[in-house]
Amino acid sequence: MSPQKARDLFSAAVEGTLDSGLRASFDRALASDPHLSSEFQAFRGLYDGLHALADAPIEVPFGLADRISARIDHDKWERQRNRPVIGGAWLRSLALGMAATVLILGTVASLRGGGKTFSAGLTLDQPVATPLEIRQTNLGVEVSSGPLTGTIKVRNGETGDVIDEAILRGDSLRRPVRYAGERPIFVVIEQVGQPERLSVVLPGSQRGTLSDGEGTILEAAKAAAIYYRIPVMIAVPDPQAKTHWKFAPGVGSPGDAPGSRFEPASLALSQSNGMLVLRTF
Amino acid sequence: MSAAEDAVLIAASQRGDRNAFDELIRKHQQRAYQYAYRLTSNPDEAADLVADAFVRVYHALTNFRGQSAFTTWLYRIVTNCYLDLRKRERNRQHVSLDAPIGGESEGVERQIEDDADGPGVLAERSERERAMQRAVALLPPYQQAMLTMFHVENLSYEEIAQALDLPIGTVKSRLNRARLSLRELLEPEAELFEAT
Repeated sequence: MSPQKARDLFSAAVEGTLDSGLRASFDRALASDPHLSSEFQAFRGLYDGLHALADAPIEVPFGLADRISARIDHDKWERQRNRPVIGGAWLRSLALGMAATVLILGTVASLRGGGKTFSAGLTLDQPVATPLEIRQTNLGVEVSSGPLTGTIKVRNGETGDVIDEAILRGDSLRRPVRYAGERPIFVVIEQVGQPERLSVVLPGSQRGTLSDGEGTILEAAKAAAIYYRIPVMIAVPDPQAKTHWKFAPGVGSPGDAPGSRFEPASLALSQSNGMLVLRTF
Repeated sequence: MSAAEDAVLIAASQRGDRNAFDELIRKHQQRAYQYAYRLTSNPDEAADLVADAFVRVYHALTNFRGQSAFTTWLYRIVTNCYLDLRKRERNRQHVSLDAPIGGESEGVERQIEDDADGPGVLAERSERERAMQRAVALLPPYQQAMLTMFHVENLSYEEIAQALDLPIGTVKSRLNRARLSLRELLEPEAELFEAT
């Protein structure tokens, strides 16, 4: 038996699965080649050592199952959104025209609202409004920007505590903001010294089944975040204003959210960058 | 976790019962995450990998006929997600040779807790596991996956063959080759792996 053939049998020899004839031939090869024999001894030690890798208990992140469910919901919604429009070019043109109209209306409403809070859709489509962009990722959101100089802070929107901070010197930003808590959290992302800011509620692992309620707009955003299990941008001037809400009937898929009803009726949920946006129209 | 329970949940999920599918996630998330973590040595990457895998499971479940165990199928999908991830990284040319080495240190620290052994034994085990993980991370991704399935997840050759859709002889020979490569990579630290 050649040394190479013997090496091909190392695993079977350690596992004791060689038949007697092959085993005898293998043993003769080792006996006649001390180098091969020491190779086999090292191989045996390694084989045993590999099982030690299994000793470590690995802790599963809290709320992983809910995050996976949210990811599936998001993927379903993306697939629905990307489904081709049936009915020919004129219908597609109409759809695009309507989308453009909504975008323009949204821009005007936001500017009239004081320009201090921006939705994700606006930051993407109106780059002059704010250098910051935000989009949903698997486990939270990602904040990004083009090249800029300044400090970007992520704060707890209710306590003001700084959760994360990035100092940019002409660099671009690409920063994940992930949250693994139980209850939804309200975060504000801002460039220090600039009036613009992004306000977003990140869902926690908690699941919400209540489809209606009343309270502040912030509370409505939190309820939507846990009902649809997706981040919700707040694009209104005063998140403490009162509202009543009734989420659209369905299975809690984000694709249903735009059918939700609010009081005052100027409030609505829309979709942008994989998130929901609570805004006034 | 019984196969019969899985079969009931799978059948309900195939009929569109989302609660049943969520239950399937809850039952199998731990195993999937542990496997993903051992492949990536990175908690965020592992969580993303598992999420990707369950999205694929969700969309492919209607085609699942139960010819293999659900867990075997899940291993296959997590492995494919992992191989795709590494391929994307290679294509972007963003692979850092330092990443697996630095990235595993956190994982290794989790693995050295064992009150039964004294400090000397612990130090040696820790060093051995560290060296082992470094070397495994240098192997091609499919070899990493096979080694992890066999030595860490304790899947049999037959189960790995099912999961990877390969003949059992191919699995055995590729695993032997992976172990030989590992031995070569670890040759400079051979004294840590002397057979007892």
